[in-house]
Amino acid sequence: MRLLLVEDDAMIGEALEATLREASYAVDWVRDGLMATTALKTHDYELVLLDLGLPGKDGITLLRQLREDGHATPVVIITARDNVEDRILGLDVGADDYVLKPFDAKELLARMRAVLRRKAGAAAPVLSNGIVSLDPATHQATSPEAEPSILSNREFALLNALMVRPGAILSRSELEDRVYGWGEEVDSNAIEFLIYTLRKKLGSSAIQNVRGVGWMVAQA
Amino acid sequence: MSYSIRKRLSWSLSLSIVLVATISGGLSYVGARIKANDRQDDTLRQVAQLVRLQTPDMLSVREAGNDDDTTDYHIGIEPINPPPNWPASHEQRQWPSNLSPGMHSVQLDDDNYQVMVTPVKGGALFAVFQETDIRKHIANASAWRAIVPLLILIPILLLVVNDLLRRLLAPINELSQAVNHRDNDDTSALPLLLLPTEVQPVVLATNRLLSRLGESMQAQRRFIADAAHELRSPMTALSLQAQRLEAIALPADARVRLQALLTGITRTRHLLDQLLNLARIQNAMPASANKSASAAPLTTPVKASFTRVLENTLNGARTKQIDLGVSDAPADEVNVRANEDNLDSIVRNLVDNAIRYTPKGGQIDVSLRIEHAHAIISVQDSGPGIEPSERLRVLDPFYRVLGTEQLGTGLGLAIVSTLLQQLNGSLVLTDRADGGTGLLAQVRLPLAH
Repeated sequence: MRLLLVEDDAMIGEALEATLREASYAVDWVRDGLMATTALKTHDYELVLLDLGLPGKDGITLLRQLREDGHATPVVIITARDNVEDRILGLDVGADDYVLKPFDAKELLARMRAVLRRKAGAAAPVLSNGIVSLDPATHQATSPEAEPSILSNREFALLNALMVRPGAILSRSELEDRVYGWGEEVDSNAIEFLIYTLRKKLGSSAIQNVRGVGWMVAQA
Repeated sequence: MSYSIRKRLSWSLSLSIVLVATISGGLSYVGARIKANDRQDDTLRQVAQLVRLQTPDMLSVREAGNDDDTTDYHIGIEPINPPPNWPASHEQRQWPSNLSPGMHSVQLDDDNYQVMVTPVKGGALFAVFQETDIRKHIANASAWRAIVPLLILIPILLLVVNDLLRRLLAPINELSQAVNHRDNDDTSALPLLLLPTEVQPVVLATNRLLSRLGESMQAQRRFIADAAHELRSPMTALSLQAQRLEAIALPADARVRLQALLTGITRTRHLLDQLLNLARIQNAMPASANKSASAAPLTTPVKASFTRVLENTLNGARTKQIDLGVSDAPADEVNVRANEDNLDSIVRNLVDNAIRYTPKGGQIDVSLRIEHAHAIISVQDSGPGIEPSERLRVLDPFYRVLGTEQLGTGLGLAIVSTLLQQLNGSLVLTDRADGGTGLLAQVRLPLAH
């Protein structure tokens, strides 16, 4: 998978290029906005990692032109500009994600994967947080603590809601919204019961309770 | 020493007016009296001119018959040495016999007289006279008449002057009020219109100062943005390189040292973030906060903020086997007047601190309640707490309670308290209400409507 890295800082560029190569990406690294424009015209990239403070042409200008020219290439902004206005501007102009320096290599790679997955259309065939994995096609869930098992529709809906974003906490009412349709009668302890059955199938630590807030699945 | 121009002017002008009035009143009074005396002397002389043309007989008749007609001026005519045929008047004064023709002041018994001595036809000397007391009385009366207008006009003048002063200095008062009620960071120019020309140079100079101040605040903000960028870039490179090492097979002791290195890098990154956060908050301009209002709403649901903070802090808490959760939050949504980033930063810093200082296996409760149109956000831990004497000082940047081994940045509470100042909120650190050991941090924020 080929991607373009636009970064003017030599130290970051080198480290990032090496990190990305180790993660099996083919990387073209350019150091200014004008070269980035040329590279984008002559090659097809599956992802662009874009720094904002660039010599030659500012990252925002570059991104705006790219979108005006009709390129849908996913762009992840990597920048040290951390104020809200810059973040909003970056996303409004057409970035797919915004990663603040300094970042963890693992986090950047995960966000790149997520952006690529979204671009591919439907969510990835199998959801996983590294512990539990869930196949939307077959409703099969696997976990290291238990045998693979097929989930009921409601169990699947609940686990799917949690697995879409591992680490996110969903409250009871948020889970009820996702599991039950409009006008459906919901028992007061229906969600607890579903979680109880899911834990029985997948092991007790598969779904974690956060006291006073809701439930989550552990982050990868 | 400070003083009020209006009071000074008012006092000094009033004093000057009273002083000038007193002096001019005194002078007119004295002048009027002298003039009255002169006029009366002239009258005596004119009467004497007429008397000179008469014979003593004619004068005796006149005297006898018209004694009371001269009441207005009380002018009397008598011979100095009454001749034998002079009618015996009830009131013939004993004039000294040696009086020569001309003007004299004479004392007879208890009375003083102004006397004009003149010879009449036949050569006898006659006295044309007037009592000094009556003269004085007449002179005083006319002198008073001269200063009465002054006495009436002075109070009016005083009132007018003071009113004028108040009116003229009103724009200056308004200006100082306007300056007083400004926001700390408002460096826009003061209005010059409607100000007296004497004050305009001061306002112009102030405006120049304000604009320089605005520029330097701008430069400060740019410096922070640049510093953030310049510090973050090498940190990013350093962090990426260290993480690459992690992926390589290393001898066990090298791995231990790499872990120490990574921990140090993480700590430095955190410190850098907190430092830049604090600097940015301290330099935040209310105007710019308003500008971004359309982008980031100024009202934020508290429970959503709790969820976001817990999502980001649960891992740290679970590593220390700390039970972190929300206790009693109202069922309804509660919104406070703060943007999402600021509210998250407040809650996050308090929860981070609680996790840092709570021992393994402890408990942290985040809660929310409503009190007098304010949201009270509490974070209660089961750590060692903070001594009452230290509770104010821990809000200072980089201040750390002695004897703690925790590796915080020393900036968390400074960020929280600075943010709360800007959001019209407050932070109170107390002991736990239930008597257990631990710290109760309570944030008070105005509710959004």
